[in-house]
Amino acid sequence: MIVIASVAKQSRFIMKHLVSGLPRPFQGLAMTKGRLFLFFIFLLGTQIAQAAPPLRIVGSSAVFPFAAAVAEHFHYKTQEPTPIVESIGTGAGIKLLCESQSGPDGAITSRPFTEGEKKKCAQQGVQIQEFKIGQDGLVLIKRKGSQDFSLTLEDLRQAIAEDLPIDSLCKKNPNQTWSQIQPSFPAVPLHILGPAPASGTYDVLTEKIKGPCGSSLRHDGVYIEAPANENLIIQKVLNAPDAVGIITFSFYEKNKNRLLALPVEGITPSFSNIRDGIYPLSRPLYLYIKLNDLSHHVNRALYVMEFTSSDAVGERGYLRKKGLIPLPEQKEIYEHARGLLQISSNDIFLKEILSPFRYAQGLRMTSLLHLNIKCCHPEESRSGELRIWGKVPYQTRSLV
Amino acid sequence: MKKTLRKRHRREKYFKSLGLTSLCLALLFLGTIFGNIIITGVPAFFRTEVLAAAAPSDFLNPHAQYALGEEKKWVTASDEVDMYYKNDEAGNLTPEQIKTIHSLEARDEIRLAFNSGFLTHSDSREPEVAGIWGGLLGSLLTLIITFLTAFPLGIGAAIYLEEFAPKNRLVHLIEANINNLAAVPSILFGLLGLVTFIHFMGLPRPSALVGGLTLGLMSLPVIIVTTRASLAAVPYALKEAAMGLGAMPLQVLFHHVIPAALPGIVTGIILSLARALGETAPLLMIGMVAFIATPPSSFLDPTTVLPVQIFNWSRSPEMGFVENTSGAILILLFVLVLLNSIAITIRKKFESQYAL
Repeated sequence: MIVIASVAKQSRFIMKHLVSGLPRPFQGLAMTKGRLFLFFIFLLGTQIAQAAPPLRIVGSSAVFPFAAAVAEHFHYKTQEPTPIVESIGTGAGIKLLCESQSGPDGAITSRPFTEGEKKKCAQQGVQIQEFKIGQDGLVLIKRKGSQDFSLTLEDLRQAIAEDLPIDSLCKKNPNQTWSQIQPSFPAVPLHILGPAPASGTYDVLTEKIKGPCGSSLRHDGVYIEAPANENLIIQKVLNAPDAVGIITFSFYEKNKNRLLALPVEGITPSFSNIRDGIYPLSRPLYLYIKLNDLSHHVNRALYVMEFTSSDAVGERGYLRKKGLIPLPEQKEIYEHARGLLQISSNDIFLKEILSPFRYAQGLRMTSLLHLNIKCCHPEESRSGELRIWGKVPYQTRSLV
Repeated sequence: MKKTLRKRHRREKYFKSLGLTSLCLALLFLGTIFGNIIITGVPAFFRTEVLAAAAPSDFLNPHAQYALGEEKKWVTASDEVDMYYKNDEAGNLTPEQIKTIHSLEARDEIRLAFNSGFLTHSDSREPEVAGIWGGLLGSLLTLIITFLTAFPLGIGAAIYLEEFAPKNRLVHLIEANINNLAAVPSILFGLLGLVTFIHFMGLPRPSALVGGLTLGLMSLPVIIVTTRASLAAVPYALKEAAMGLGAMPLQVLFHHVIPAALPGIVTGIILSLARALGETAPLLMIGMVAFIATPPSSFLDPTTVLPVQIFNWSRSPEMGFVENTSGAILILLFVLVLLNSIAITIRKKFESQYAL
């Protein structure tokens, strides 16, 4: 007590003398500094109590533009806070999702979970639900106006794999020009820019070119990794006529007028070819949603529904414009997402949770919610407990 | 004699021209950067608007559908229309759509207006409606925390080290370490912040509090070094005079030394805050790289700062973000110039009052 008192006394002394040292116009300002500081502490205190957490989605940079766009439309339709979307790479996103039962609500990935990752998730007691949200393709690009050629997956492997089988032995990749791979290819040096490790795109690329000598990409300067920045790849390709870039379809779609796409196995990376899985370098994109901590459950389900709704991926959907290619079975996935929301017909609960949506402008979603009053989450039906659903997010309650 | 003189003159001329060349080169680089940023960035402050009743629905920005109720006549156009109208970049527009734009133009149903949304909106995935408000506010909140941590700690440490600390080996070691820390790459402070504030203290991750504390750690050594330097520059005669008149050490310090050193101290603080404002690397390290469309309302809310938003925009596929990126850089540069000129003004003002 004495110590505090003496410190306070001392600080007042220092304050007073500091102030008297200041020129006159600043003195009044400085006198309130102490009060200002207290005010900030107060501000901090009140806001701890108020924070209503938005959804948090983490993961792949390839899915990030889509997930963030969905987040905005989700906000406009439900008036819930806009979900936070972080682009940290597929691997890191999965790790963060499975780290604890709280934390992020979902992960966006450009490949499915591996067995090891699933096991880790289960160890932590994290329950997840997988949604395929669309198809994406890796596009080999060149500058418009440069020489066009069609290559096979084998040609691509010859170009970027670290080790190749030569005389039934695995040796370092000797190819330095395209014409070394196929005589019909242009005689220009190999110069390929593509994704970097830790991105899902890289994982997919290595899987696609996996050969008898492993799947690692060459490190001798022919294949250049551009960490999570596809604009950089596009810029470099535009400035170097011989360079070949490997980017995702959404980026190609946005820069179509400046870029040339090389056909792979004779198939061009077009919307329908990727959707139908004919294009060899295509891959599905995933959204994984956490099922623990049910206080976020409604928002999570609504987010997935928005992601798969016809507003987003329909004929003129906003995700389609951004280059996402919906799967042929999109309807079923949407139904599946809606299944997440199947809620008990407890009237009080419904009123409490659903009425805010009437205020929101997404009227269609509201009517959907009202129609869909059937069952419950499997776990709840077992225990017969409905009260767990009553944990309404703060923001929702305030809107009622 | 004459010969050596001529030689010396030649040497001098040579040296002068060398200096002039390097200066010109630096100015050239600076001019290129600024010219480039200004040319690409200025269009970001204008947006294309279309008459909502006249334009087809896919010419409107994707968020226009939610602005029901309020009957707006002019609506921000979609980024593809915007790009075509401003820069003649056809992008993925079909020839029919381009024809429609021209007919809209003929009927005065499309126009270029000041993009107020660029200053008042927060981040968005749609370049035509994205703005910097969230980032600017986040930067402000972060800087407040940085100031509150770095200012008292830095000044306190500097005054103690300069005026009161005993001169022994331990103090010398600490001094050497602080001088070294001032030159440490900022990303290491990000690592420190990650371990201390997030892993150890468990503070909420993409918040202004954690960002500000991390940047505070980063500015601390710089503030200590500059404060010490300006304290040391106060002539000893001033102290002796005060002590001769019977002032206590603390009185000497607060009545005479600090007021005389204040211009240097304030300049140091403002410059280190300006550096913190433009810093990205440590913030990326502590994970402040998220897409956050809601402006923060407290120090604990998920926050993004302006430099990180610039970083995020530069990675986006839409062409509209290229000009948005440059526009945001212009704003950041403007704020930095403002801060620096405040520093200069304050220094000038104090200098004239406490001329030594």
